[in-house]
Amino acid sequence: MRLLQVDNITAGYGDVPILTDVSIGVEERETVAVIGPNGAGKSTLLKCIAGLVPVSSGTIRIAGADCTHLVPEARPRLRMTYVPQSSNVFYSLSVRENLQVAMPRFTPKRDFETRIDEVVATFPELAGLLSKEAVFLSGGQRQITAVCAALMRKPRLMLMDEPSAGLSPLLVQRMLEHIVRIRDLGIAVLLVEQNARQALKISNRGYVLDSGRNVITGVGADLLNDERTIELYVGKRR
Amino acid sequence: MDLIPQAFSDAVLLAGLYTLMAVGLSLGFGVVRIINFAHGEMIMLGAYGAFWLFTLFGVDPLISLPALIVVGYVVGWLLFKGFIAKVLDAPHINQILLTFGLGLAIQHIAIILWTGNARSATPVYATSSFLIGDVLVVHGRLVAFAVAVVMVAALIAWLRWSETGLATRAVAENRAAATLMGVDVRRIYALSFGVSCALGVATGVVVSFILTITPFMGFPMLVKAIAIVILGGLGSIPGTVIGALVLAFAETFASYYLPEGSGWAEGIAFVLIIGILILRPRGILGEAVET
Repeated sequence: MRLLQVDNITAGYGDVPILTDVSIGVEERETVAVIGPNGAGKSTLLKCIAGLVPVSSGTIRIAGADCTHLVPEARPRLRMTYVPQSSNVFYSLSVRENLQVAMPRFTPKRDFETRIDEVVATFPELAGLLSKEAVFLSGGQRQITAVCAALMRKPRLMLMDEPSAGLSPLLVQRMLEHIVRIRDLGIAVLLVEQNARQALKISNRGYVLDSGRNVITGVGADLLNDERTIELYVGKRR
Repeated sequence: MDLIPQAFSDAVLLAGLYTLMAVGLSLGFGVVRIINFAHGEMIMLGAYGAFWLFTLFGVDPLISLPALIVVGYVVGWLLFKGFIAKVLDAPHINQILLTFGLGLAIQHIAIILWTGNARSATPVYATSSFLIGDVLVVHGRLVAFAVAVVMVAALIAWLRWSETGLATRAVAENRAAATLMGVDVRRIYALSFGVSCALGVATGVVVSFILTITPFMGFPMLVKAIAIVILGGLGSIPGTVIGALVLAFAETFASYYLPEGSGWAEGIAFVLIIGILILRPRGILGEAVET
């Protein structure tokens, strides 16, 4: 049984479907990239899985449980968390509070503190920032905060929507390292990226989406060497 | 005799009451993003509740306050579940008309039940007073000020340190992100609307021994509360305190120093609303609100 199984979903806003008959899957501990041109429906696919965009047909299963029409706020309970592309931290809250909001209700304080220590062990960059208000963080620190908030629930699967968008080349490198760190914790990652080459390098497998449909599926490294993929979606190395 | 110390003292005590009056409205808007035009009627209901408990059973308004706050919370929660929840994604005009209509309905039910007669709760401290130097302090006003300070401090503490308060702040800032963190946004909406109405009822309990109680008392108070939150910026508690201070000082000094001043004072809220909308539409401490 796959950790995430998306079967033939059609979805969109109003009557116009953005995704048509799209299927993808993620195994435990696997990093999977979804790439494709602008407007291909990559982010919409992620939003469907997170419950933000209604699905008109097809099914989404987490570890076998059908959650196609489950309200979005219930999905973190299935140990699936989502890092949005933008506005992914609460600016008026401190970093510690940002992490606290992500915890289930009625979590004992001791468990929260333990979890913070665990997350900070993975992301030591956060150690000195806990009491800082998020509005004063740099772009890179904000991304780490968002990722750590998504880690608080001990997810099995993390959805990441263009984590490198808007970051400088140096910060993009760091972000990829962060994803590798998450992968090394044994968490499966489903990654949507504009930056196809970089994303495929750290992924086990990749899906190419175009005009809201599946086009190519393959092993990450293979896709990087696949003539058609490179020509259409990755861009030739100059 | 120099009137300034007296006016200053009156204004500060009034500002406390005004803060309590406006902070519930501000909380409701800050979280649910709906201006509750029935907030004045919550104040009216609180005033009647305190009045009847005092008149029929001799219960001091300060004793009935906690129970009435709980009732106010329940009423607010039910109003949210029964009405407000249905228009969350509706156009603003529908939301405004709904809460306005609720206010009118409550007002007319009050007329039917209790007639339009003016009433007032009269515990001993309502009219007794003491002197500090030349400054006369009415006990009732001081009590109202103290209640307001305690209530607003409790609200701030709840938002700052409780788990639900934290979730409320998160929802107020970014509803979508809060949902993704697993926060049940509708639960937080219902809860903060309940707290907002409870604060309105608390205001009513306090004014029951300061102002005249009628079914129509809510509207002028709503206008003042709106002036205060527009002044301070909707959804900001420090802004609400500043707005309340500005309105209270402007009204008090106008009534002391203008000829026929107490008449003019009642109109100051309108002048402030118009002025702030022209000069600084986001309020003194407010953030721009996306619509």
